Amino acid sequence: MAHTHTHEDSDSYYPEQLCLIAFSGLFGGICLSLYFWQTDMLKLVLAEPFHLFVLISGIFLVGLTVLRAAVLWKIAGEVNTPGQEQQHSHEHEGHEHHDHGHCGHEHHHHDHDCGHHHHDHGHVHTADCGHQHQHGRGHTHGHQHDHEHGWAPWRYMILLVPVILFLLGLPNKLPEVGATNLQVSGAFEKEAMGYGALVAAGPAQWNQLSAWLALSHDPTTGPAHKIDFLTLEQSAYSGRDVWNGKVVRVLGQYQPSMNSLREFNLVRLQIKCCGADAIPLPVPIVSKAPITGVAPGQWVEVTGKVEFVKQRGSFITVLRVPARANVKPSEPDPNPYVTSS
Amino acid sequence: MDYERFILVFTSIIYEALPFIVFGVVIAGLLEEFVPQQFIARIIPRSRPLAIGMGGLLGGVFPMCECGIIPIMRRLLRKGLPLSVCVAYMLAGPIINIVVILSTYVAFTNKSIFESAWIVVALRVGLAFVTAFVTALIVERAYKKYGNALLAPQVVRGLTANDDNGEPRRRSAFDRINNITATALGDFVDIMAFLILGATLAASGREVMEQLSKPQPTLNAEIEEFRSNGTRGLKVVKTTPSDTNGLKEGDVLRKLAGKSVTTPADIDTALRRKKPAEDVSVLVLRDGEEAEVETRLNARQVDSAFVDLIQNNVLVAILLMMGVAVVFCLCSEADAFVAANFPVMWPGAAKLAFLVFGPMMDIKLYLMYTRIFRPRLIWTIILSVALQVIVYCLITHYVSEYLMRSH
Repeated sequence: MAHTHTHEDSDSYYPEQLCLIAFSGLFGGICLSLYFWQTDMLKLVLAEPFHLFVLISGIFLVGLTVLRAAVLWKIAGEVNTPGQEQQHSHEHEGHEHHDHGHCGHEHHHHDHDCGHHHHDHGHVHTADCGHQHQHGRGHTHGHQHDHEHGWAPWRYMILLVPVILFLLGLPNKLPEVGATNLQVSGAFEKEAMGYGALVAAGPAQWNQLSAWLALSHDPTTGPAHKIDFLTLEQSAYSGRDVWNGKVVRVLGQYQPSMNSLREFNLVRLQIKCCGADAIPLPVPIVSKAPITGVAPGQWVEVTGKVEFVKQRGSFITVLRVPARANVKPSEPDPNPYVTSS
Repeated sequence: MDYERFILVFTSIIYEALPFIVFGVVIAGLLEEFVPQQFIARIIPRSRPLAIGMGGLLGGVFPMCECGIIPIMRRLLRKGLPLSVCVAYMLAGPIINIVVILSTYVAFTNKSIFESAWIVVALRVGLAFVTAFVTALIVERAYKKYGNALLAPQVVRGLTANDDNGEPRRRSAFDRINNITATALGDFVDIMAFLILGATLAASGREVMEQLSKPQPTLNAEIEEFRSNGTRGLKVVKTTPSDTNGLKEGDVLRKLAGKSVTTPADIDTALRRKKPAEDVSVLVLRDGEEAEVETRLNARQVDSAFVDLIQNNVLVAILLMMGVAVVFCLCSEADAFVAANFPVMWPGAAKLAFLVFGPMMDIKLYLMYTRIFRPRLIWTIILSVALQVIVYCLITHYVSEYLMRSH
């Protein structure tokens, strides 16, 4: 009942192992490269807290690869010494059957008697003594076992895909900030539209408009506090007393309103773990002057006055902006996302 | 098809999961080498339900992303952990751990469904535990009936291999390193291939969904067809002028974005490549004269029939959300965030279904399951989990409605 060992398997052992080493090394190298050199790409793909994990797994992968290569080198060296029995210090009472579920090479047959003559093809197969293998008679093995190759190259084609993407420098851009409905409450909306409608109505109405404008507060008295986007957005929940009425300066991406030039959303993408879970976070902005000449998605720095508006039962943050000059094109934030910790 | 978003979703799923796979295979390699076979079988409680219950809570002690659990579980099976206990750990582990509990709480703090974020957490954890427990019991019964035929061939070989009488073996450091590295790297490559396949499917599914739910551009005006003197045309019957809308009531549309328009279908054609909030030029007939104006496109409101459907048929909403969870393949640490930000029209019970079903089943998990289980077992698990999630979420929905009504 002992299974015969097929020597074709030995031909595929080394290519298999070399593939393992190559790809583990590649991915380890990519991880380290992402952490140390391609940080922009890493920032696009993962939230900050996860960067450390990538570094650690890169170190582990490279370490395991080096160890495996060293072991393989030693084994190969021992093989080339002809006629020499393998010096593996096996315990003969029982070997653990090594799960060769890799590279599509699902099954090894082994002919073993417990007198233990280890084959001289350098097979470090911690095999069971054949007669204790509990394979039933007529046992057929997994369909992946292929006597010609003994391994499945298709798996490595798949593994190449992320490697190729990395070499191409992808991904390298934030996804588009899509159009969403502005979150301002009804009152604010009417106000924003009101300016616009008056202008559209023609010169006869200008007096009314300027009167209206004169009655509104001028929002930019005082120095502007530089504030980060997430703090601004969340001030509606936990900082209303602190921030109400303050003049702030904040960086974000411009998202035009569908209804008026005098309102828009300032948007940042928020992620928790990775780019796949990114959600656009908007802060509505209402302006006295029409905001033109800004492309959707463009990074801008906005200076305006903080106000809180109730919407669907809870408060949201809104900025009031007096003039076009308060919306300035800006360099993108080196950190593409905002993350709440 | 947004290629940039596709690549971003694809790579982020991979690099999010990769560290956990590495940790998982290292731990698996160490388990393989240092824990004697059948050791675990001797230390778990005799009562199988009790063991299953503990398995479900094991994630509290060993938090690990879903992907890392697979290689570990493969080794635990070989070390004597009963299949049903493994399944309990596999299903509940990604949810019942500190990291996910906290992130669920934070995500729902200001966007709560069911009154408060703690209730969401309690429901998520509770339903996950019950689902995992019941499924594990079902698996236990199946195992008694079918034994190792439930498992993939390579796993069975490992199980039925002769064991070492439960004593730690004395082997050289060389052999140990050899075994650990071979196991770990082999597992790594094996699982990575399936992760990549899963990520491809997930990113593709995501693109399909984004295309389907993309807001369609529409004119910021009510348009009606008219016929007069044998001619057909389109007239603006209602519109609000503003600094972005040059249309006026009574305008007859002649050209839209450079294309002639006489029927509503023409409008759709003209706007096909446009997006909401984009400015388009319109040639109109106004007071007998042609005029060129600009108008900004709006977004067509979500089909109210669809909104009615999901609000009045919670079952449909739940099923749709479970489908979304399968396609999105999100890590269980992040999915609370995404669920909390789904539009308000989705019932809370549907979002709950997303939160419980997602960590237990998605495309990449399914592919990884095929490395350990045979299809019969995989589908047993899927059916058990899916049916339970549907039933429990429906119950939750009706109970919460009842409680709200009686307030």
